Amino acid sequence: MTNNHLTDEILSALLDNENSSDSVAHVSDAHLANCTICTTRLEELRTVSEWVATSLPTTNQQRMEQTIAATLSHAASEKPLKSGRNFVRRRWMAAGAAAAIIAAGAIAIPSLSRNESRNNQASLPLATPGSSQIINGGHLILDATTDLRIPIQTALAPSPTDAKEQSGAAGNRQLNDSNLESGKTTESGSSAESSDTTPTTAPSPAAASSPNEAAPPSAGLSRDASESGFPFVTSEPHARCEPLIRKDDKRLGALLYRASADFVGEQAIVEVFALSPHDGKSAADEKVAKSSLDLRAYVLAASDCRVLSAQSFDLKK
Amino acid sequence: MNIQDDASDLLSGTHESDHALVHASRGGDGAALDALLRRHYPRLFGLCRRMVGENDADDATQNALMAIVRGLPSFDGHSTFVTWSYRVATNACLDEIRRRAKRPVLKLADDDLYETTGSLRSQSDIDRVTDRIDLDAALATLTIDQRVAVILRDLCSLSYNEIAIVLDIAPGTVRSRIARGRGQLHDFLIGNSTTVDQRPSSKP
Repeated sequence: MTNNHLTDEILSALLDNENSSDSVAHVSDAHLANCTICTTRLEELRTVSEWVATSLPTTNQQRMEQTIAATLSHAASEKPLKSGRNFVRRRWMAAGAAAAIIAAGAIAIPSLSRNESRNNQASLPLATPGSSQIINGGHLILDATTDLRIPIQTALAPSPTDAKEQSGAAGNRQLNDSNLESGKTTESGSSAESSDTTPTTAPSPAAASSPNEAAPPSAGLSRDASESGFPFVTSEPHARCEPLIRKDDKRLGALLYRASADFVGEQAIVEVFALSPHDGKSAADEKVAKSSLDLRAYVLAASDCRVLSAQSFDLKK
Repeated sequence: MNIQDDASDLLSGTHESDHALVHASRGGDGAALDALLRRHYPRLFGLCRRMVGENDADDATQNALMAIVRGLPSFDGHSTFVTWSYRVATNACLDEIRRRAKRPVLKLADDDLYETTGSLRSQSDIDRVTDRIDLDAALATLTIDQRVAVILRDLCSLSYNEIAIVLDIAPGTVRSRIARGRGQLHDFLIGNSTTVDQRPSSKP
């Protein structure tokens, strides 16, 4: 009589020592002592259980390091683990200190968030000079201590150089040490404009009165400038690359993030720019543009500002 | 590494240490958070690896770790960190599965081991199959509910009551899902999705 056999539920629970009562266990044991069918089934279930239990792939140390680093970086870009009660909310975008990921030359900033209320008081933690790490497998991790929160209105502001830039072709750059040091580049044999006339960043709302104020290539942003809305862009000595990139890419707006990095063994600089929404766009286009923010990230060789990698993003707000 | 041993160690001896790390992490101690994630990564990766398959395991694990980090402020300590983190990770994996709506591809290593009746030739054949068959493929034949229950029990070594807490279901349901899942896995092993004997499938 088949109904006299033990069910899989009982056998499975017996295997796990999880039968709910001693009486059930006792009856089951008594049955098993005289039933080869159920004994066989118990062994079958045991085999399956052991198969699952012992088949765990070995943890890959490198993947663990990558995953944890990305998690910590991502977490740092969000909000403090502490209760947010004392955290002054404001209208910022977090352009994710989150792991920006470069894979085979592609860069991605996966996580953004936005706080809703307006508050231009600069009580957010100021950014520390960022450092980035490009680890094996081609992943770039932006340093978690770097605060990438960007005032929306700032990020959407056109580059102060937009109005002045001419539409010169972005030909191949010929760079050398001397013009790099002076923030100059030579395009098609002609001297490019000095970075002395190229601001390091777009203006913040608070700094809008002097949007074209020059930033010496080696000076970077002052603390005052940071407190007025640019806590994320650090300075020298890599500020020299920014004007070179702007010469080649006329769409670039505010410089939102800069950090050093090791890129496949080469010292590099990571720079993330907002792309100007004003280029040839109608009012309707701008309205659409304000629902998202286009960014472009460059990875540049620290030695000569060569573009090692670049990619654009569309960040939803 | 055997996740059972790892989890067992955690369950038996490191609660206070986990508690201290959680407390420090919640206070903004990045080193403590790093240590906490590092300590529990292997078992969480194992769970995610078996839940979502090899291709998506890294993403699922990172999502799980992120969910844990985000959830730390709400961790009330009523359960162990191990159980709580399994719950968070399981939910993260389920989200991943739903989002991607895909299952691992089935692939068998050796069709010669199967007879047309679906019965294996011997216990030694079973041993050979478990050595060579793709567990991901076998787990993919289970329902999500069964798969999670079996993994939490056999891979993560949680008790039925702990699994009930993790999945927010009754212990009896846990018991049923594990039994059905194991039975299904065995059916997969013998290459037949139908039962091969006349034993009852429910309580007598």
